[in-house]
Amino acid sequence: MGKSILVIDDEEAVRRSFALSLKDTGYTIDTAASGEAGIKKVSSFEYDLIFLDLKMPGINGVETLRQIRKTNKKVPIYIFTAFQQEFLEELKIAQEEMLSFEILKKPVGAEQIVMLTKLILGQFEEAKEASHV
Amino acid sequence: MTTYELKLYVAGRTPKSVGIVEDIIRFLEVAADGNYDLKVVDVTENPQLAEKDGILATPVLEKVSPESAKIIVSDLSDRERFLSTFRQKAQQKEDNYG
Repeated sequence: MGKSILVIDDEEAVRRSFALSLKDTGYTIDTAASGEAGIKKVSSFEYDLIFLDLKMPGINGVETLRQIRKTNKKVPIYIFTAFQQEFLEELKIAQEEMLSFEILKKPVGAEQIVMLTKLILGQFEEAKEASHV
Repeated sequence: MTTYELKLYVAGRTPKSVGIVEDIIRFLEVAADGNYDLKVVDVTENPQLAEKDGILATPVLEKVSPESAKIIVSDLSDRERFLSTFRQKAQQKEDNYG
């Protein structure tokens, strides 16, 4: 069975961009339009990788991360945000709580999404020539 | 003797990022025979530097010199993969200039 990825982002264009970028990789791509929907999906399915938007209406990325980590401490979660101090400040709360996460810069292009996903999920041979991480 | 100049970009000071730093130091002590200069950049503290250096995700190890290369190191459990990348880049350099 192929690996499964969940993309949690309130912007449809972003969800579609991830889905289109990864459609030929063999991974199963699932999406959620809110933190609440993402938490629900994670509670009923074991994903191999989660891309999570930081800024969302309702439950934001940090709270979504907090809720997911209550039940799943292992799945790699990449928080998707601009590399700007005002956004990254919010992540310090998550750090203080020792919540495990990584950061993915927003915006990101289709080729970069594919390369990073393969690297993260261990498809090293296919992605090893890429160096723009 | 070659001195490796490296930057490691991490997301905060979490147990995971501390573990990655420790793993990389252990690795460099052997692979670079202790000849390295490693700077750790916390992207949440210094996003401007990460932006300037073209970093797209964490954790990434950038070999500044000899021969610039970036290696994503999110899965150090696959240690052989990481070692292979590091050595391959070093070998490429030797092939090119040696």
